[in-house]
Amino acid sequence: MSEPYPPTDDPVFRHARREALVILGLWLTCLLYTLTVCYFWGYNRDPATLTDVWGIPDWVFYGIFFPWAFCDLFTIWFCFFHAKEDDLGAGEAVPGTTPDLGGWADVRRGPGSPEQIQTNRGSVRPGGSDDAR
Amino acid sequence: MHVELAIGPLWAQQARNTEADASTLIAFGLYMGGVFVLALIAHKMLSKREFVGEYFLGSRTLGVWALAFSFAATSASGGSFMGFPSLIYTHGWVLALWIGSYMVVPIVTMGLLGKRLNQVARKTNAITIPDVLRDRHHSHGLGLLAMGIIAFFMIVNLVAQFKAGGLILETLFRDIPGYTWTADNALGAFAHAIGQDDLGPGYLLALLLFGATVVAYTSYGGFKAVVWTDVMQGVVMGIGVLILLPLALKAAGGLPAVYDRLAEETPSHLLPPGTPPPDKPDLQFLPFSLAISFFFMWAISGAGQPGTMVRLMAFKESKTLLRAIFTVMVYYSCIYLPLVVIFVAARNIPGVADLPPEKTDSVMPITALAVAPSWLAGLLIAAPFAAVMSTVDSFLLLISSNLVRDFYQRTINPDASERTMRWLSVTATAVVGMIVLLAAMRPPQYLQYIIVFVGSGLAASFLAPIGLSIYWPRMTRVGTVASMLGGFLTMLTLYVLGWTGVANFLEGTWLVPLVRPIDFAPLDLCGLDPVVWGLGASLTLGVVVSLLSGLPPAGVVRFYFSRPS
Repeated sequence: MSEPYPPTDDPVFRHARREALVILGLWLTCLLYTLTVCYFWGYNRDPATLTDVWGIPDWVFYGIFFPWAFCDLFTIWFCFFHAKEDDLGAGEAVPGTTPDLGGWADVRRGPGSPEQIQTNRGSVRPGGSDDAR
Repeated sequence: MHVELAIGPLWAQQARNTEADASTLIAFGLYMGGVFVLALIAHKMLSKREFVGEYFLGSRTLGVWALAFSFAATSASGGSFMGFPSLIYTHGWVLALWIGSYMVVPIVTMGLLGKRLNQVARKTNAITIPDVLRDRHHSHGLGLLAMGIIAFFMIVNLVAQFKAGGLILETLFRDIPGYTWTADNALGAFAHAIGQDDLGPGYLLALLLFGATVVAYTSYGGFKAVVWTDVMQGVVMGIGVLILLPLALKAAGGLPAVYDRLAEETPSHLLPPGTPPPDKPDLQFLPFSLAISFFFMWAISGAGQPGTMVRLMAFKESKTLLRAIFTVMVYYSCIYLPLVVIFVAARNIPGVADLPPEKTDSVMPITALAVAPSWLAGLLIAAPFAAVMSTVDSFLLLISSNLVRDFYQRTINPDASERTMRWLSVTATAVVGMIVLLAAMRPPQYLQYIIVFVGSGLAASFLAPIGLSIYWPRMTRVGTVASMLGGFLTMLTLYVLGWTGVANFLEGTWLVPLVRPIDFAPLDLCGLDPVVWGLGASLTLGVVVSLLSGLPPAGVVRFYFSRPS
């Protein structure tokens, strides 16, 4: 009665998801590193034991400046060597390929836009890909 | 502008005042001229492309510089150049931790959703965030819900931002000869009639100047005008800070000298949780739980702002996004850490070192005037104004796109002509701006809390619904509604509990370790800011309700997640 569940093999989707997970990993690493260093080296520290690196308190230098430099290097690696330069599409929907909104009215996305979704007549199937083919 | 420096004889101060007034006016005049030239060019481009897409999204043609600077300038509000320097000056090095998560802000806020959101928006030619949600889940109701939440937060925020703009402009103009006289004569009676005696006619005149300028160039030029002025504003801010850094360090005698002085006189400036305010010696400026919250508030919640997401739908190609992330990374590294260094160093700059608490909000212009030539001081004084302006114009356009695109065109009249849409878009932007301008004549108090409430509320309402909708094929319509409402209501509940003080009796327990000693503050459950709970509730509800609500239609999954045939 229902069509088979389609594969999720769009390459842009897969690349973007993998890159998003890498970014979340970086955020978590920085959160854990920075907060750990700042908590143990900064909070409740006896000021008499404090030292400086080039005039910067040691906990700021190792807890914030250092990971900040690491993040900058990581961002360079991510932007220039890791992330894929994918083709994101034309930016204009192909006639008939837009899914049925199942709403209250004919919905046309913008004057001059090629797609028209005829929800009331139900002529476009959900997903619409059959029409597109 | 306050330039009453406690240095030198009186004549020197007066000479400095005159120089500063002239440079302020020149910087401001040049800046305004630039804004209107850009709006004019943007308006000409409107006639060459499909109107709605160009007016609200720039026809998805943003290049690296436009995307990067528009993103950076919109994120940096007036607080970055007034409140933030004042906090650094008052509390010391702990502000490096306060702003520490900005090390990942560019890559997280742009990279987490950017590429995929842009691709998904292109698939259906979506122009707004409600467009994306409506198409992804085939639901007009969901689009309208998203529209309602954005409108609620944005209108609240715009009133607060207009107030900030009015206050900054009044600070700039206050000491200029004739300004106060003009304001008193033109608006004194009106200010009294509307009961605005606290802020006074000087504020009202500044508000009118600020509001009229922003409304005019935003409604006239649309998205491109906003983006181009953002680029100009971003450059103004960046150049100002980078020039100020070596000048401030030289005047302070170098960072080691500053460190030695702080270690000797005020060691609390060197350590977290920072120096408590003079009037609240028991208050921890940055308790550790709040430091954790800031990693969510700046980086994660930044990714969930509809204003940010719209920019991510507007870039030209994925290469543009990656280069823009790199550019913003360089920009933030050159702005935020140097700001911390400059205003820690200000503690050792003659004439700036011992400002009274009521003057610290003006520490940036005061430092600039103390160490830099007057033309640079003028540039730096224009920076906070530029920052507020670039935030306000984006929000204004977001609300009008909500009304015109999401409500009128997609719900009431899908067959609206190009001419009608053009007229409606410009009118809606102008009318919304004027309404907010009127509301800001009697603005709410607690500016900073309102701005934080709005940013957190938008993130809690939109990050998980959008993130899960574009990355998780299993996300359903009901799950999206639950996620959006869950985040929104969690935030609202914690703020209402905080404002009403209902849960104050729990103070001192693990559930509410501390009640912030401010009337308008939210309830920090377990010491964490409400945004952490809002994001958590939204994500959890989105996942659980989707799993419980059956599979989404296979056609939808194929359309969004399968390799194009």
